[in-house]
Amino acid sequence: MVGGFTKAVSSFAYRNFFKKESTYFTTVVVSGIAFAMTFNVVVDKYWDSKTAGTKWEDIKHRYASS
Amino acid sequence: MFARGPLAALRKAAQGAQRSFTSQAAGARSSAHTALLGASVATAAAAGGALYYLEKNSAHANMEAEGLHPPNYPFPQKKLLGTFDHASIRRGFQVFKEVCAACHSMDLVYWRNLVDVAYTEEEVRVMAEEYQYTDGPDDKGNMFERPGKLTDPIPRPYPNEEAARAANAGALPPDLSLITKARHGGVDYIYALLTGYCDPPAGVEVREGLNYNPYFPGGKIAMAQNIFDGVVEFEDGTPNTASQITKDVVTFLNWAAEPELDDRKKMGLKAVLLFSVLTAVSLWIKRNRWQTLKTRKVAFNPPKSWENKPPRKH
Repeated sequence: MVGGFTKAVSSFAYRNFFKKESTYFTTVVVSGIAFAMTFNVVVDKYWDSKTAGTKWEDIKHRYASS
Repeated sequence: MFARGPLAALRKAAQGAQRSFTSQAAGARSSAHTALLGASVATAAAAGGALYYLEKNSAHANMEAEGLHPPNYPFPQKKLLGTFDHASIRRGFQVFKEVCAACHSMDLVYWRNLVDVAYTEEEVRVMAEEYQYTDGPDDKGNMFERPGKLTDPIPRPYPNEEAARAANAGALPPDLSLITKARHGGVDYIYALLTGYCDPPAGVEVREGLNYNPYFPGGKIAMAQNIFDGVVEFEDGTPNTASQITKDVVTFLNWAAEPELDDRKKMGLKAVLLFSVLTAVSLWIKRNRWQTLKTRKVAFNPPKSWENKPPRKH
């Protein structure tokens, strides 16, 4: 059994987000969108740091005509 | 523990390993069974390993037909999360255009594919306009020539296979759009092939028109060596040694065959990360939901009247 703070947080979450199907669904969709946005930004930043200097975006300044 | 008899000690060991066995004889049998199983698995593994080693290090009289195995070159795009060096793709396309396009087609690559990969849109437009393409028919029904557009393919050196063979002593220069995926050994093979021309060893006859190349299956290839030091001048000042030129053109060929490589590997990383987490979560949820079933106990309380009833005759 959980006690104290954990219990308070879990009860709050259950009553406000998970008890009714409509709020549960909304929570799932909103967290999904939020997670997808942050996950993509974080992994893309990591990827760009790993591939710095090799991509077209990194060398196109040498040939920009405009 | 060791003060007791040896059979009792065996039973204790067997009970520790397999709770279902309860008899002494069964205990002795199960440890012998385990030993036999272990010995068979070890033998199978050793035999498999020995056969694999022999296969990889075999020597036989027909090795020339397979072609010399190319070495492992450190192309950055070969690593698990490695991507293309786009500056190398740009130089490689210049090499292809100036050296290889005289004989090799690249039908599956269009001018527009190069935009924002190795060249700006303006640069590609200018390059495409240097070539004349047949288009039509016009209002009168005639075909006409026009300068190239972004939507055109990289121009073919020969209109068809027969013309290509006639111009190359019967040999067809293959289309290079997918060559790094179409040849065993991939980029390593193409690089080794292009840099591997040498004199044939003693006793090997190479007829007029063919060239000796140990990496080519059979050893005799119709293409002569085309890449030498200084055969192309790079605009970005990269030293134009034969090996650098070859490395760049092979990178370009790899891009032509796998233009999606950069995105594919990025998506692959995201997919592996997400699916590992989801798998771990699924396993936890499954075990959590099954706990109640797996730990449930069933109690059977027979009615008192059963104890005195005689067995039924069927």
